Amino acid sequence: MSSLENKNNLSRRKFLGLVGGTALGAFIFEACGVPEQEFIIQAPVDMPEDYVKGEDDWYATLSDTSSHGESLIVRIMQGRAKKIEGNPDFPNTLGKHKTVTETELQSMYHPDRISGPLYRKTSSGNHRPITWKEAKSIINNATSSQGTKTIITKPVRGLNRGLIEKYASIKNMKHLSLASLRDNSMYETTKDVFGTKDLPYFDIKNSDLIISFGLDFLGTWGPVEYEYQFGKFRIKENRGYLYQIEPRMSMTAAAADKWLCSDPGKEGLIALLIADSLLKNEKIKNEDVEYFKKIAGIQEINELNNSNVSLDPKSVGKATGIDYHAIEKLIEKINYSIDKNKKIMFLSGGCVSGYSNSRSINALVYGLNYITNSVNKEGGIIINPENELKHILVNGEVIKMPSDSSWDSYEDWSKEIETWESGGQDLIMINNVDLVNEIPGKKRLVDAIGKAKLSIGFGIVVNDTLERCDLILPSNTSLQSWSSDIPEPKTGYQSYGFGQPVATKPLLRDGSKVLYDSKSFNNVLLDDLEGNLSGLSFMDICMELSDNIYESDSYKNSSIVASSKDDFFRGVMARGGWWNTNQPKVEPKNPEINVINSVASIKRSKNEFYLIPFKSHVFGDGNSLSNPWALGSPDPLTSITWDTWVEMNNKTAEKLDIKAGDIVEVKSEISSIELPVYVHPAVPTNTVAVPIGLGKDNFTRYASGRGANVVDLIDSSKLNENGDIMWNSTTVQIIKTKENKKISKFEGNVPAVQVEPGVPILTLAPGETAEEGFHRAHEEHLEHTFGDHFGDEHSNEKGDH
Amino acid sequence: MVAEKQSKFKWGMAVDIDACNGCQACVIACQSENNIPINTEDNFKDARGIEWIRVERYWEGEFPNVKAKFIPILCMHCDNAPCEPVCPVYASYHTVEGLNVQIYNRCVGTRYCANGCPYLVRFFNYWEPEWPESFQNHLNPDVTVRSRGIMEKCSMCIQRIRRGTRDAKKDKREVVDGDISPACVQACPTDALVFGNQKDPESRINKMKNDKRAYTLLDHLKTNNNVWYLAKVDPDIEAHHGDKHHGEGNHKEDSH
Amino acid sequence: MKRLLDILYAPLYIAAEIVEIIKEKDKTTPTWLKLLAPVLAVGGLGIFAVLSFLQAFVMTAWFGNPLPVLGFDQSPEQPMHFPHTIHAGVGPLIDEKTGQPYVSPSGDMRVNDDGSPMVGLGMDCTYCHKQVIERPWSGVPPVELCISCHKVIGDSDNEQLTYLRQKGLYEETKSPINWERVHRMPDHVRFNHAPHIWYLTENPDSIQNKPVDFEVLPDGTVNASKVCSTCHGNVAGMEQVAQVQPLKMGQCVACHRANEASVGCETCHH
Repeated sequence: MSSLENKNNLSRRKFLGLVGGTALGAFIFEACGVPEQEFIIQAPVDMPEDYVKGEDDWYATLSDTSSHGESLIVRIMQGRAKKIEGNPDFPNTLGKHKTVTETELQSMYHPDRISGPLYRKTSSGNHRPITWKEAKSIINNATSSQGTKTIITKPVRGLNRGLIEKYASIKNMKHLSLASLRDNSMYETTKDVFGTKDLPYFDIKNSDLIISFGLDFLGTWGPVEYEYQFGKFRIKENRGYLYQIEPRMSMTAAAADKWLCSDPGKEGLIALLIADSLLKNEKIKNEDVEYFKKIAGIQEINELNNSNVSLDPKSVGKATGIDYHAIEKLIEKINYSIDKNKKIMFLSGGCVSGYSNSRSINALVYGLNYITNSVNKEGGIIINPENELKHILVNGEVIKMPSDSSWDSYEDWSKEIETWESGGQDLIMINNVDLVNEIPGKKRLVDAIGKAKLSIGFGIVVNDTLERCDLILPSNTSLQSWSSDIPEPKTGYQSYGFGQPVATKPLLRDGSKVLYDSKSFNNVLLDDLEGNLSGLSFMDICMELSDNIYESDSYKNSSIVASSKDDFFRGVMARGGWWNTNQPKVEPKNPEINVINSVASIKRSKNEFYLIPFKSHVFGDGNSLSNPWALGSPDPLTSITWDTWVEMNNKTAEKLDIKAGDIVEVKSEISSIELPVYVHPAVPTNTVAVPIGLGKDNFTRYASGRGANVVDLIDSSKLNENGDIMWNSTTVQIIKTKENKKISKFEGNVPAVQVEPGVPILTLAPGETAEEGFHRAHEEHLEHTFGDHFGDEHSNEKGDH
Repeated sequence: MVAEKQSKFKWGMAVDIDACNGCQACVIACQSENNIPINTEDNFKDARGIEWIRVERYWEGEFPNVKAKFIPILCMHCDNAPCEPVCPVYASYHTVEGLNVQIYNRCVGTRYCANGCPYLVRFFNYWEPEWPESFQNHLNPDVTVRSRGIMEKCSMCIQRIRRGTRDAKKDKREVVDGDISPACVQACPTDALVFGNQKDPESRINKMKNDKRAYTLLDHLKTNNNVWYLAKVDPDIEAHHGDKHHGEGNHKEDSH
Repeated sequence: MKRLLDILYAPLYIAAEIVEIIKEKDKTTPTWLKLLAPVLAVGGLGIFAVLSFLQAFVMTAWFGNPLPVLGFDQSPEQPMHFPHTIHAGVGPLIDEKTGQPYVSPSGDMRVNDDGSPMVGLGMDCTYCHKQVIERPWSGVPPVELCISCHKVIGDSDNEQLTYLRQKGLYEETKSPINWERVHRMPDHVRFNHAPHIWYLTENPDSIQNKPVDFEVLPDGTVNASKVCSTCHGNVAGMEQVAQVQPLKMGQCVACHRANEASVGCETCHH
């Protein structure tokens, strides 16, 4: 207790100075003056040319757009955040960052941030500004009284989750979490298949052949480290080969060496075929086969096949819509790799989790790793050890630290919404989740939230959900708040991430006024608590965790060597977290492979299309789209900016007489939306794809009223094996309207720089030099222009010229 | 351009297209570092978007054998730059360290340089850049905010290069490979972009530009680029190695 | 500006208009109008000549030494009076030019009760402008630094000091003092203090406008506080800080050339 009191005297300001002051010689984190008190220098735009050249201080904190607990370093000058980069030291960033992470800078200084607490007494009244003191008493009254109360957050881990769960249990509330198109099934299945509580780590760099069923690890899923590993996977001496099998070209499929486009729901057949061929391969060790059969509880692969398709390339090709030569080649490639003792890894998730059989197919694919003996091997799937500390004691109160993120299936959600609709809900507390746009059935949710006696919303900017809350509270961004997270997936060893406030509150230019009177969500919860935890800030809890790590067994051989607890905490903050690379291997505990339906069937009539809603690489789940950088950055595949679109194959478009920019009605059984068409060749002819994220009525000056929300089209009455919505099992009709629109896209802004007309990018065969590649490209160009063969016919044709 | 004195640096960049996954991280990093104006919807519609580094995407083939290929394109910092001789006010300037930079206060906005550039990496400010007041907090004070009527382009983050060389000088040591990285190189998650000093024989850039996969864009224009590309590899293509197919191609051309 | 010129040139326009009229209907034009045309034209040309002369003068001043009227060489009034003389001055505070003690803007002489000049504290520049050695900017110290001394010393009757002591400007407005900027770099320039100070401390011969207490240390270097005057002049003798050097590009380049520093455009312009 006494140590805690001492810590409370350390103000954040002094603290940042200290953190910088110790500055670990070899490190980029340097000391700076005291940001909050420095001379106001006007923002450079106001007098751009006379601003002296600046140098920087870099502080580490946690990212909030990433759902994997990634650590950042932020360049701070005179209290202002200037640039975000990945933490070069942290195991799951390695100095890199995801594309949208950079936009957190704009969240911080967004002109439409909520300026202070707003409250309305009746659900039909207008919001009026109130003080934080009044807001706190409203919160306290609501949470202290009896009744049905719910607290809603994004999926959280570590101390952040511990605090929310502690708060919920003290206040007798229910905790629910939600994230758009989250791959819950993959998270859950890997736990079963690898018998571990934590998501396993994929050793992409050292693998030779990766066969990924829908897992978009180079795009919208996965820590940025996987992208880094992919770079190494490609440029190493024995270049790795990546297969991507999914019904839409994701970023991973675009980067893959071979994309096999299967009809939605049929991917399981390919996995079964691979399993079948693996079992027949003589090079596969018998014990591995037996182990697989044992945990899957089968004798023959065919037992897992719930369809009437026989497992040979031709039949599977016919059922999945893939050319059977490509499937034969895939099998050949796998067998060749096994012959040569190369490392194979099978991954699954993303698209394939959106079918009715999400759990079965993930289990089946991850199970294949047992046959090829890729579990806990270099270049395979590494099982993560559990963190040594499962909970910490703060003033006698236990705060848990789960290392897996909380998730609630749509089944849970739908029950919850029914309670709200019945009018029995007393309090809904929402932290930065856009419920009404992320769950299908916007109108129903709006009504349901309105029926709650009190709804409290925390957020950075007003969105469609927050607008419906009675009490709107401005929350701090990740650059302003304390947080503690556990990376998910960990990189094969124990690690914790810490976030700290790094930038001062944005001030009016003359410094006379704080622009946004925001508070950190965690601190508001702690303020609301009485008893042992009252009077603490989240910083104290983070310090307690740091002290616990310092005293734990894991501290030995750790990333930071310190002489005292305080010294250790400073080190942890300067490096963004703590990790212990010295870890023994963990064996899977009671793994199981539960395959009930390996193949899903989605009914589609002839004039209908499969609908694949997806997260665009730049738009993400849409929460960053309040920022013009996110909106104005081209989607990598289509180069579209500022809008939602529907992707359609060029042949389909030709058949339907649709041109790029034509507005079509996308109509499912539930609802319909109107969108402009973008035509490109990488969409299957029987499929259309629409990105999520836009279509919000109120979401800052930049994103309000833009695009349409594809979530509206999804039928939420049918759920998959995980109790979640079947995102990729909808079929839609495409109805042409008379309207047309010029799509805002980067494509066409500059003419292309090409190697040869028709050969834009030089592509080489393995071992070929660039010069030989140019010759071949030139020939191919000639072939392309003058015909496939230089036969006699052509000579004749030429004679006619 | 005659160098005033010999420098121990000659900067260059290599881009391994095989590792690039087209994620656009370099594009946003560049916008953030270099105070590039917000590209609004209308800017894109008018083909006036400004991206000092851009990721071009090409489709090859038809479904299902279709491939998306990405190539990041930035200023090539040509040794023989077509944009330099055409500028009437010498605003397009070649530094002794081999960079092609735009001197904003000389620029009068003739746009000759942009017309001369075969890589289209020069962008003209048709409008005064506008940021809401609060966004001005995150602007980088190291970089000039360009006003209307000014041509702007990639400087290979000259402010970072200056900082790196200055720090080395202060510590009385040599610049080490990897000390300096422009924003795009720093952000690239797959490490497809590599920046370095060509005069340092040990630098990664030197190894990469001599790689057998290395080539420069539009080589026939002889602009002597300082940005090299390492070609994409497709294991499913068969190499020709100047076989009879090649001969036929020549024959074909001869008979034409 | 354009409108102003239009008004000034109006006689010329009118003259031209009249000439047109004369050309068209020569016979019907009244004589007074015929006479008016040359008068207006001469007058207009006169105005044009005067304006051109003025413009040329302004341009020369811009490229040479800045003119006070255009906002240069000014010493703006600060929100709080801070005399560099007392803090940084050395010895008796006597103005070299007049030979008299310094006078504060409010008219008080820097003299003690017995009429003798006050004695400066001779503080190092870097005591307050700490960051200048390491950072691009010199940095203005936080108010806490002022208070750390002024809690106990300083005139107890001084209104501004009392205010500072009692409330602490920072606490009052939750923001620092909004000082007026004095030294403005010309357009499109990025300037960094630190490398200049590193260089000058090691090469004392390049220092200009050496301060009175200039002293080379035994190892051939000088204290960082002794190099500032090269560009900033004798700040220790300023009651209210003023820019004394034009700080134009020519000056930068001349110094860079003399000291073999980089003179590429990209050194400062990016």
